[in-house]
Amino acid sequence: MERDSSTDVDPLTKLNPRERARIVRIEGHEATELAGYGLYAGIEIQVKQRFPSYIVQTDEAELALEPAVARKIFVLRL
Amino acid sequence: MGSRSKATVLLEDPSELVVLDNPALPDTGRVVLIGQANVGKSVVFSRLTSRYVTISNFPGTTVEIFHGRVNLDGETVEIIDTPGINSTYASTEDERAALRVLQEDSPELIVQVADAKNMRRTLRLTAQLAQFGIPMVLTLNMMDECERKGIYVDADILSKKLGIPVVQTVATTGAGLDGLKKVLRSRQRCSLNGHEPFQWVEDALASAQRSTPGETQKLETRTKWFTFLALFGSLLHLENYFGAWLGLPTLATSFQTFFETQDFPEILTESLTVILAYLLPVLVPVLWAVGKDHGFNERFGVWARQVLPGTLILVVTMSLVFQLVGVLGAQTLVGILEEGIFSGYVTPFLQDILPSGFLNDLVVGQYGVVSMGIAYAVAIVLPVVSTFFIAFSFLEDSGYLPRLSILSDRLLRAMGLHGKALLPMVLGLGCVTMATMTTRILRSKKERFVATFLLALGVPCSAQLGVILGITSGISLKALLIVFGTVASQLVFVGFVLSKLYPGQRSSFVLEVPPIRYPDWKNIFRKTYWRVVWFLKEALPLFAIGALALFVLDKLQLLGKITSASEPVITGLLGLPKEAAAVFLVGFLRRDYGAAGLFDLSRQGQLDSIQIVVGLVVLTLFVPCIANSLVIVKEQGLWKALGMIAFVFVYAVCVGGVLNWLLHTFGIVL
Ligand SMILES: Nc1nc2c(ncn2[C@@H]2O[C@H](COP(=O)(O)OP(=O)(O)O)[C@@H](O)[C@H]2O)c(=O)[nH]1
Repeated sequence: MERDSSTDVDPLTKLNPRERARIVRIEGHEATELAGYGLYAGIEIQVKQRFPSYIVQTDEAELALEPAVARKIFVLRL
Repeated sequence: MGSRSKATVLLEDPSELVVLDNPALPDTGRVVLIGQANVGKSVVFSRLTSRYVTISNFPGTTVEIFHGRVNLDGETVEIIDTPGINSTYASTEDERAALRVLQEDSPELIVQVADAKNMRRTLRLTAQLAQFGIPMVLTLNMMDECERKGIYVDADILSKKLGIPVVQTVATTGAGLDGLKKVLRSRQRCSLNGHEPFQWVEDALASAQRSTPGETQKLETRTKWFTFLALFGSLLHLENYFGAWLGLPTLATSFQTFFETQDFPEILTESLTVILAYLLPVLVPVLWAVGKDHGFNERFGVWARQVLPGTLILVVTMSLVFQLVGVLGAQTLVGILEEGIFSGYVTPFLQDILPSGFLNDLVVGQYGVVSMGIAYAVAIVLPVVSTFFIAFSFLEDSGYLPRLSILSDRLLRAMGLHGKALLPMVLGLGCVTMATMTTRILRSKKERFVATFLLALGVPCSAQLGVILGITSGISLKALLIVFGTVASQLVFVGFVLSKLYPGQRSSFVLEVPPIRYPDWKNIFRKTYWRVVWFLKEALPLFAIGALALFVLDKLQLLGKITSASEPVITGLLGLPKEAAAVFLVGFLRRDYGAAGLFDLSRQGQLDSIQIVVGLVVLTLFVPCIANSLVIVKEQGLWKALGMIAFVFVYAVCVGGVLNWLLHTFGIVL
């Protein structure tokens, strides 16, 4: 089925624990730093935890993010 | 750098390595270990090097750079360990320090140590490091964890693609390290088969050359690469970077103009993605084993970062640390050293051999250099500090601390900080001075200011902590809770107010969460050893000077005058005996010194319960010690430092006064 891809793009904060998604874009000045940690457009991630911080897994690395940063990461659910 | 012969010719084949001039002198090659944090660099380093030569505090930063030597068939190679980095853009203090080693120590080989589980990240860094044009070796560490997870990496193909040796190791067991030693003399440069992702760097350089030819010429070739790579992520620090670091202020402006016309992080991501697309196929097959390993460590790691189980784990961890530091350190070991060795042997022995009179008073009198100065440092403070550092290094290496950062992030954010500030705060429980230096890991000025302030105000160092636990265990749990409750509430309150008053923003909380691992004991003792040595170097002279100062004041009959002058505050407001003046006086020198003094007073039975509680609170909140004050001046500037110290002084006395009044007015029984 064809879907309009733009409507499926959500900030990471919309994901539930265990949900997988692909990063579409990252806004804000944290983008460079996040790239160093392995988060950039095209990468597949999984949300592991939402509280007290967001925990996101890429490959075998886990990253803790505060909500303000998670909000700037836009993803496409898989 | 200068003394080292630079005669080694860099050849493609390591077996052809020749030394041109003075063949009699073995040439010392320089090898730098670089890699992300927590990939096992320190373990690789301590496995490679037989002993440690120096530990340098990097100028301007506190990041420890370890130097060591390894002997390769009679040839000595110097190995330099660097702090973990994620990229070569110098956006953090750690990255800057590591890059500085690349720039200033002109290494002949970069050994990139990597976590083989995270090949994508590893290769990103490889691609960036390759741009320096320095020969490289790639070490894929943690192969045991890879195997358990069913991740397979083909080192041979990777080596062919990159054009450099690729070795696989398990640093903790030593597997593969001989292979690493063998390639340490290789001098092959990483070639990404003609992929030149950094064309724009040349463009930027050309543009800068046109506008500021003079300054550009001052950059040697490597510095150019270094500089440009470093620029990403540090566009904000541009002026600081060029002006203060390289002494080329106008260049900063020139680059700024160039960069403003481009979308650099975008270009960067793209060019790296090209390289990765080229490299990643070699990682195939990356097999995901069907039943992934969910060992106990993994489950523990998940619990420790969740609210409820995490809090439980925190409580258990704290009581274990208390057993080690508060019981074994502050009671057993202090007992042995203080009563057994110092009061039992050292002091009586010196009293016997020294002629009575001036010399005897000076060395072993009431304020004797040995009987007070050295005894306090070695017998009371040292055991506490050492046991604390063992506990801290264990927690640090096990991967537990980042989980504590996650749990405390929200509270710290209310105080204008965030989870990362937990590390200096916890380290502050060991030594506030050391912790104040590590506030540099915090990104924004505001965070560094608030963290420094709170460390100066109320984070007790381990000796104080040990003393607090030691003394209050003789009274009641209630007393302990009142002391901690008062101090903690003041920290939160002052932090909250500061975060509102101090202008500026805090940085965002992004933190890698390493897996929980059983730490390597060798590594723990190595770290503890260096921290204790650092501590002794720092503390012993001040303890001796403190005793000397009191001795002189006492002989000049000034001590009595100071004591009576401070009586309105000490006896009146705080309700303490006037002898406590000397305690606070040495507390200026070092807070743990004061704490040790208070410990002594209470053991002589000179203080009642309320006096002890008030004394402990005031001393904990009291002015930072001299070493810490100096570091604060260095980090924050003279005026901010003076303001901070003055505030803390007045505040500590006020809180103590209020507490004293409350405890008496409400007739609280401790
Ligand atoms: N399983 C496993 N653990 C390792 C290996 N190498 C290092 N470690 C552990 O990984 C943690 C981090 O190591 P460390 O050397 O401090 O990392 P650094 O931050 O890169 O210096 C420590 O707990 C080590 O014991 C390895 O090859 N396999």
